[in-house]
Amino acid sequence: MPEPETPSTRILLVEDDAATRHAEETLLRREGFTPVAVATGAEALTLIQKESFDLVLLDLDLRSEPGGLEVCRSVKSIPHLAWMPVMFVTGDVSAETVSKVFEAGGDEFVGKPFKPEELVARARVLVRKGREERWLVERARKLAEKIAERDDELDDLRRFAQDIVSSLPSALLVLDANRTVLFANAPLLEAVKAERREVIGRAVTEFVRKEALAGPLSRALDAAIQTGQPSRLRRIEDFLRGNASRVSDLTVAPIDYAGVRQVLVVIEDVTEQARAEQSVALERAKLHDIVNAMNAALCLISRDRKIIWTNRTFDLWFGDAFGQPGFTSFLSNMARNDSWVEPVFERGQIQHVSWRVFTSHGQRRYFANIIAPIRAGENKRVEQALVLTQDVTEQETRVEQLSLLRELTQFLQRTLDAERLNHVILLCVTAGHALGFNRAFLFRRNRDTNVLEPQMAVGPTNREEAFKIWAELSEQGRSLHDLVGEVERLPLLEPASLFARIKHVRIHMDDPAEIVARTAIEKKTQVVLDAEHDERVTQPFRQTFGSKEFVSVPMIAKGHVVGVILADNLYSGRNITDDHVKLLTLFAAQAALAIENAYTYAELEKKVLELRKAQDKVVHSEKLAAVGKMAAHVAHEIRNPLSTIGGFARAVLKRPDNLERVNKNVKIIAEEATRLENMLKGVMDFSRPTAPVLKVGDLNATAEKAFRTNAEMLGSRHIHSDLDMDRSLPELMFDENQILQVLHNLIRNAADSMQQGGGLTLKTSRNGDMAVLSITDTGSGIPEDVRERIFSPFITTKPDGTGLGLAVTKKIVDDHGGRIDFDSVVGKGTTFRINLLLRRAEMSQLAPAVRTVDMERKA
Amino acid sequence: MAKVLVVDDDKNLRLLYEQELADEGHQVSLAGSGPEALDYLKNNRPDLIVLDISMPGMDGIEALGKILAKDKTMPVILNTAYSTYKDNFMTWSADAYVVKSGDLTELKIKIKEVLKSRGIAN
Repeated sequence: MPEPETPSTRILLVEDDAATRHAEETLLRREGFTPVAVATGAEALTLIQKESFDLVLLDLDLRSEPGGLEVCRSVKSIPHLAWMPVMFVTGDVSAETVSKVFEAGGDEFVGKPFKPEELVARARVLVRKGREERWLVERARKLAEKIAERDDELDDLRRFAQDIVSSLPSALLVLDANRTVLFANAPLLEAVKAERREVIGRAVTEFVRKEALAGPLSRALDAAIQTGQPSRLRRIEDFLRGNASRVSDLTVAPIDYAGVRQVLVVIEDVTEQARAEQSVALERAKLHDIVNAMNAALCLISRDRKIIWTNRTFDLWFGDAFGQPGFTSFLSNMARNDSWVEPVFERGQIQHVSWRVFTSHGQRRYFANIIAPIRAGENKRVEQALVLTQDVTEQETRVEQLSLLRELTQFLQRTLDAERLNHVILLCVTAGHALGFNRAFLFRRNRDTNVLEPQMAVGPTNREEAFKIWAELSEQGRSLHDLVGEVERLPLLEPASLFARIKHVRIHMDDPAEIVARTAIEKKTQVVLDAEHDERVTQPFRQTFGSKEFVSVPMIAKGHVVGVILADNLYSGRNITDDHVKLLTLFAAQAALAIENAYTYAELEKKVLELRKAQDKVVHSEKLAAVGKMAAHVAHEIRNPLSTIGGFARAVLKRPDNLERVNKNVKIIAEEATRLENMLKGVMDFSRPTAPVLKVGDLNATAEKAFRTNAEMLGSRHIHSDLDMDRSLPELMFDENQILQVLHNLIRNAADSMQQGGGLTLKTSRNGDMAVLSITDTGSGIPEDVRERIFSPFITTKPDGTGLGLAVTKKIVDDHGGRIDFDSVVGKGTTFRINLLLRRAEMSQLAPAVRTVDMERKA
Repeated sequence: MAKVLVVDDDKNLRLLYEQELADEGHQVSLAGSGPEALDYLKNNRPDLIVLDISMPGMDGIEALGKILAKDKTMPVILNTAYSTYKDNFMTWSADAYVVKSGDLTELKIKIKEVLKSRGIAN
């Protein structure tokens, strides 16, 4: 906007004539301008660059260079001053001058002399025009700057968009309304394996499969082009050519560009996800099939004990509509036994529980359940329990039967009495709990005649009796275990009337016409379902047994037939099932073993008896041998004393006059006679030992007695003797005379081993439940080679020993139920220890030993 | 008159032999066991040895072996209660074998015979 002249309206005045300059300056100031006057063009050009002016008043006819036209041209050539109005003052107003003025870019001129009003008016117009032009120029410049800035922004945006497009993993395609490709990004080019120029401007059909284009994609493109409707297509297979078996998700979006409708297609490769989804779906379907097909019921229980899911088997077993009886029983079992489920929810434990339920049909079924925790949520709390239920009725029944069979078998194996065994076997066959046949017959093979002989029969003889027995049994409610237990105690039955019917039957093993024999010959169970028409059954058999349907089972032990069991259901008419046959066969094998055992046992008893007899004979002959040995020993032992006695007796006879010598010789004769007597006594002691007469007594007192008796003898042999008694020793049962004899023997032996004198200690002590008598000497010890035989009779190391002392000693200790042992070091000495039982109550156990002695004596 | 060593484990029997053989005019020495006899023989050389077979420890047969090993020419008469010892071939190396008896006549005769056969004056 032009402004009114103000003192700020500055005019540069260029006039080299001082008077004119002054007049113009005065005039302009008076009119409200601010004139700045200079005398030369050079001054003007310098000043105009430094200060701002609104108008240049220029003298055309400057006498110095640059001239007026030159100054004007210079000003106008300065770009930001191009707008500056320049007004010339000149005396020459010829047409030539005027055209020069305008050529130089001048805006106005005033001819000299000018009227002041004219100059001022022209100046005012020029200032206004200059200002207007200046404003326009400024504005244009600013606009140009702004446009340049905007261009830069656009460049940035374009680059940004290109970056986005090129970095997208998805393939992009822009089509026009004719489905011609306008744009394709790098992933798309890569997918179709083509250069950009092979794609841009081509029809989309060239690289999209026709089939893919025909369907929903075509509709989507149409919708986008025609109505601007975007759409999304999922899981398009084999969409792009040359990119087989890939799966894509497509987004089809309309874009309007410069008023032209185009379509953007974004292609996402989702092959991996699609395959994963597919395999998950497959697995799920498979699992679903398995869960439904498996022969086990599955259900999920929530924390509040509600059933939230079941499989098909569960529905089948427990009723597919919740609330049916079967299902109620399942639930009530669960509720009644929350202790089963509780650990699953509270502690995450897996539970194994079995249920026995009665179905609505009254059948007993066994279910084995596994209850497992299923965790969920961040804290992994057990939110559900999975219950897997298996029907184990068959297994359980079998197990029950087998355990019963095992029980029977154990009982059979315990029974060795043949009669009783027969009875038990048949009882087992007929007892309702296991095999439950009505009647059973037992044939045993006679090993000598090879004939199958009836041994026993169990069962009623007629229908009435059968019902009576069954009624009794069910009233008593006794288990098989009870029955079997009773058989053990009951007296054996008289041959029952049923047995009377068959007891004369004899079936030869070599007669295969008889089914019982055939069973034994073929070692195979025979099942007859219709005896009337079965050619395996003979007429006499039918008459005797009268069974229509029966089973004949061999009893085989160690490969040999020991007998045959025949069983039928004559009265109940119950069919004989495979299970029963199998079980009976199994049982028969066990029964055969039991029979074999009993037979072996009987044989063994017989053998033992024979052996005992043979042993008696051997013992007898051994005794004779011992007597012979003893006789030889005695013969030898008495030869010396007899020779001595005879010799000296003869010497006396020869020289009866030499009294001193007679005296000496007779003394020796007497000595030798005593020796003979002692020897005889020893022999008698051993060959006819007496049973100990046990009485309660004080062992210390007996030991002391033996010690005193021998004290003098020991003293004379320079043997120092000691007595060491355990005074706390309780009284015990023993034969004082025999123990005295033992002590005498041992003390004498000890003394004999100490020819040069020494020390002897007699000691009593207690060792647990034994009283111990020990005799320790410092003698020569027992030579190693003799130690093993030391207690055998007729072993001696002494010149005049009988070899019987220790044998008799051991016999006495043995008869007391005691034990004798010794420690010995050659050259150092020997300790003998006699251990006698302390407990009086135990003494009765000695009785058998004593009896043995009695028997031997009688023998 | 000869020097006779009697070896027997029976004391009274030794006394009998000592008395009776002394009556016969022999100079009798006594030993109660095999080792005792061997000990004696270290320093003495009797004209004849009467040796008991059945003795505890070293028996007569063993002693006989040891005696003959030292002096093959030593005359030995075995003297025992058993007659079965004749079965042991070792006893053959003895000069004579006499079964023990209260009547010493046989022993005395054998002693004379052995001494005579060995050329030892009685």
